[in-house]
Amino acid sequence: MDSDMDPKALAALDALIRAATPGTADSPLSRDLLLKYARGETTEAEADQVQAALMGSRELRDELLHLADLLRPDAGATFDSAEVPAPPPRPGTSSATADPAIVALTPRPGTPPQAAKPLIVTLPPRRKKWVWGIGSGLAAAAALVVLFLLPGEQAEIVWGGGETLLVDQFESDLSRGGSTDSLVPRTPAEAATLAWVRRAFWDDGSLSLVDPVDPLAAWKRRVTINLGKPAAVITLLIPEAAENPEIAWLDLDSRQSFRVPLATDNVAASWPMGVPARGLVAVAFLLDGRPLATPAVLVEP
Amino acid sequence: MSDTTAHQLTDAWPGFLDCLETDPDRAWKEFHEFTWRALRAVPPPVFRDLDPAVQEDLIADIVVRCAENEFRLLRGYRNQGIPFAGWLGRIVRNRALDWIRREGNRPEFQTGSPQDHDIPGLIDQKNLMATVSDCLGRIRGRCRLLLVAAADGLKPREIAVVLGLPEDSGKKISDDLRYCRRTLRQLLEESGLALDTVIAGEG
Repeated sequence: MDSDMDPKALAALDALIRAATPGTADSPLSRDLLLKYARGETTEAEADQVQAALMGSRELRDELLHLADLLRPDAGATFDSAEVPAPPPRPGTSSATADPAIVALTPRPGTPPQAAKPLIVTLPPRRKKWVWGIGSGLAAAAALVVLFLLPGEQAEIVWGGGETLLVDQFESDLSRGGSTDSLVPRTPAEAATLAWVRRAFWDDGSLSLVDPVDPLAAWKRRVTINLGKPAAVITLLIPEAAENPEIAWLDLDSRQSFRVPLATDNVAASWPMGVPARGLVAVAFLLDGRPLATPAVLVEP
Repeated sequence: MSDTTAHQLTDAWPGFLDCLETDPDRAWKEFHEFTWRALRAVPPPVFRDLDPAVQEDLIADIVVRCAENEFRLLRGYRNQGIPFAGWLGRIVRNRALDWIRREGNRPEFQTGSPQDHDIPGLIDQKNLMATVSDCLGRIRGRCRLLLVAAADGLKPREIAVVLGLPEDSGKKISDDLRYCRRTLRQLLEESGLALDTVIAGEG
């Protein structure tokens, strides 16, 4: 665009200009005047006013460009033909919130009150190969495995960290048998996904990150669950001191609930038939009949 | 055409805003569809430069956030006479910037968008910036805006929008830009700031 300067000098000049005109402040310019300008309908005096404002705000320049694009004749047709994913449940309105089976999962003694509140998270309806879980890390991880483990695949969930972290596990990690604590995003998309889930988790503010069984640091018991699919198993490492460990599942569509005892070391507990392999489920990891932490509610896109 | 797409892209007040309280499920469904369509059809600057998967994440995130707490964010929307999609564009653009800032320190997440990583440390030099600001201030307004728009990395068609020129003003823009850059460079040199020196000081 400019043959007078070599690219390096041009880049330097542009960088100097950007640095000297940060223009990040919100502009007091009225938006209808901006729209008028985008339509080319301003008077000269108005155009001067708009340009002065544009000079001082990169945000306003971007807003103008977006408005101009919205006004383009072909934008309406593109809008009409754009692909739209199916909407997830409206935030805060999952049937889980009103379901007595979940409400009945009262907290374990000593558990912070908020830990018993089901955390309903509406999840982006996209990547079909991902399942999302937020809540009790272990429960979420177990649910993720159940939902996506294929026949013949095995996964071992190691839940032994001192951190009650949400678990957002990726299918490939699980099928390799990874640790939920070692989740490392490998692509920007995965990183963004993880960041999104973490943000949703932390920003919500309703969930304590204190693990109610901490400092039960001995994670020795190994329980294998047969998922009811041929050769699909999930292995959980659970606290040695855990009493009557179970996993409770609630099918939010049929309102049926299931409990799987995990009482014996290394004994395969049969996964009850009828548990959905897909769909909306709520999961809680129970000790002595009470949830270890917040039940996880999973929404599969 | 479905009920939802009956919402026009340029509507300042799409119908779902009227039923946030009376019919929240319908409002949710229609808002969800409108937002996905609008941001996919006409993505705002910054956001549109992101990886498509990241874009989808941000859209999904914004849709949910706008509907949380009984549409608290949506209730904050005020009709300023511009398309509702423009309001959405502002939000998603800013979220995209947040994403870039958060991930930008990791090489694998660097985007190709032109930002101020070009010359490390440059923006920290206050005296240098004061000189550049002073020189820019001595250039007439339209030329200054042209320089700023070009420094944003805008295409000629977009620069025309910013300057309020017809879309086919590419040749004029190129000519004017060459003149304005030459003028600024000359002013900088007169102020004792040679671009060659800036470039040499880069490393």
